[in-house]
Amino acid sequence: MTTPLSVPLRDSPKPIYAESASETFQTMTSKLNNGLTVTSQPKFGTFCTVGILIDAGSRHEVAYPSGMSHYLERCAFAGSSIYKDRDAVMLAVEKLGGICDCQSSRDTTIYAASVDRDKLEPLMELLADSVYQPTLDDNIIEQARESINYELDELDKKPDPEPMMTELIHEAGFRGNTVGLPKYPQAETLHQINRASLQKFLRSYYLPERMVVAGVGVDHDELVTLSEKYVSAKSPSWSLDGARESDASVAQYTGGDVKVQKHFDLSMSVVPMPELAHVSIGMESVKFTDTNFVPFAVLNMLMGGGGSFSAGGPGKGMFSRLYLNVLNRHHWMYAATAYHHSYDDGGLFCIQGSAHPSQLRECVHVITQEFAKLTNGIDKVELNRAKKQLQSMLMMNLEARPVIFEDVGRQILATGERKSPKQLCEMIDNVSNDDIVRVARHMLSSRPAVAALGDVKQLPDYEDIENALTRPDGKLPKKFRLFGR
Amino acid sequence: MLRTPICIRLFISRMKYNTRTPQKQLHATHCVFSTENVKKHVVKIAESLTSELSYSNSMKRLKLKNQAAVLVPLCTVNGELCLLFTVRSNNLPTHKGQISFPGGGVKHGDTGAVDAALRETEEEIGFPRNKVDVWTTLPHISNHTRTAAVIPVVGYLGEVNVGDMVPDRNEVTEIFTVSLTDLVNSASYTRFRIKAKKCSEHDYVMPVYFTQYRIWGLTANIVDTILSILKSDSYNQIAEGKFTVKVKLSSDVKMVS
Repeated sequence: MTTPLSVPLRDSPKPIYAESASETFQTMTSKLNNGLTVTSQPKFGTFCTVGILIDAGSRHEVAYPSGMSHYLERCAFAGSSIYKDRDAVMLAVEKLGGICDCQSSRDTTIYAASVDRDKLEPLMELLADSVYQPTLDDNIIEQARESINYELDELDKKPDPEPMMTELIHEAGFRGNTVGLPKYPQAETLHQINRASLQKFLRSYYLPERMVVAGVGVDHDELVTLSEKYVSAKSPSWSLDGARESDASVAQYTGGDVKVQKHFDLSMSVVPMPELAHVSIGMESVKFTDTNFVPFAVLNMLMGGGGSFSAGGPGKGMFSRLYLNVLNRHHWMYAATAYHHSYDDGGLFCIQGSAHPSQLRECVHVITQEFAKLTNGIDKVELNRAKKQLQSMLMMNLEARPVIFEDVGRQILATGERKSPKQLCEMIDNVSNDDIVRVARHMLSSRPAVAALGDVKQLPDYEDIENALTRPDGKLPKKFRLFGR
Repeated sequence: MLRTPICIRLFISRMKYNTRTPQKQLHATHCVFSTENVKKHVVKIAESLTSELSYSNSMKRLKLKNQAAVLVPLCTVNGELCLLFTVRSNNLPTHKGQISFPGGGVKHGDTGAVDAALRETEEEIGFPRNKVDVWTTLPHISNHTRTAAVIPVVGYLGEVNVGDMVPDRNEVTEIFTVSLTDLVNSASYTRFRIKAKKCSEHDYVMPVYFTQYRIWGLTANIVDTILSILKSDSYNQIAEGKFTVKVKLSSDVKMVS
């Protein structure tokens, strides 16, 4: 009465296996006569995510008061020719079974919505109307200004160093140009953002040839037909006649330092908060179309890091280098995280650390040493773990429809083609130790970018940091101080 | 004057090549250009630039600690007019790994900028100074804060083969050439704000060239000036700002090269 499972059952019919039809999951792209690109990704489900991605962001604002894109984000879905105010828009979207949102970043602005699959036509009409026919009346503009004033106040008061540190490290790395320009409106130029300047920005950058309509879970032909019917079909509300100023600057990495001496008011917090100073040290990386981009992504995963709260100690299972070598060994480090910012013409890789202001020099020292160690190579186990983690993070994230939408949209907008998750996993698999050492060397040959926020008096001089990064051990010069620190 | 000999020669070559080559592509590889005429053109422009009153006044305001000079090495590679560049060694204290022209500080013993440029060229890339045909010097080209400036010495090296040159490894990692046409085609720009947070009248535009290496900064500024002089039919000067040397060409001295 034993039936081995290692051989087929006698007399059982031969199984016919289903073939995975890869064609069903192919991203399709079409270009319309007016220059607009339409792309779609099939996906099973009741809902779809559709949106318009525009090649416009804070990097294009060199000739404008900073924060135009951010301001437009605040005015998005607030009132257009068909829907008179924000409530009307929200009600309409609810009726379609979903939600809508606008997000602006340094290089892209995205207007998107997730709704019922069979409500695609009314959604396209709404999206096109919101993007091309915004009312931008005094009411909307004032409301946006109030909300931004509140936001700037919060940014200043909250002890959370993000997003200030992101701003500062970009400013340090790309001094005065493109992605180094501030993303947030600045208090001293906020009043210069008004209907006229917003319309000039829209006229210059919101052009069909700079846009991609992307949809996930929709039929491609239907999306194309509806895009032709609604998107940029009518003359926009900001009028095509009028002043224009567009910039096509290439991002130039400069390196350098930016220090913001600041006292965080911790008296308002409910729980006792530590007084922290934050420092970020970065170097030039590559644009996302570069062959070294994937090795940099693996490097980012390898360094990893986060807050010390999550460190938990050696047994917890946080195996990235910044946990193993930094947070688990130096109890005084509150956080150490690696970030990789990459754009279509340049990139920045940085490690950000947080510690008590009196430990700022040690904090920098730990970071420079971690950078220098990279040129010694990575052992196989560590490298494979980082690669696996990256692949799994990629695949897990791409299970979510909004993430697929953004991935497809951004890739098509930037490069005109979409690398599938499978292709990306293969590229990750091919990263070797030599690649990591090579990109580390490439990075270390660039001029460092240093950003610091908080009580930064103990920050080492820029020249010392620059020097440390050229040394194989990454050590800062020993400083003899007569009267203590 | 440049008008008669060059126009006739080019008129003839235009007639010969019109049926085959669109005018824009008429460049050194299709017609044998005369280096004498190119030299005369460059010298003439350099003289007019140096004599411009407003420029010489602003030069007096330059606070330069040391004088520096670079050789702008025009050369021909397989008959095509090119510029020669060096990749600075990572061992140097400043501007590691950046693309530059051979050159350096004017030292004791140099008779001037030209001498310094030729000496440095010989030291860095091993090209003998007596083989350089020095055409002219251009006015100081500076960085945007006007704290550093170099005198570009335009010289012609003749037909070169980079493989035959022996760089001084302490200063130069690599030597390479790029044709003027490739430089024109790889040109891009970046507009910079002088104050990170807002626009100002001192904002400036810098050229950048994406050849096998990225050419930027002061070196790119010099390339920009040279291309404005020698490639004016297909290239418009990119650099903009209070520090730029504006190359203005009247119609009869435009170079079709």
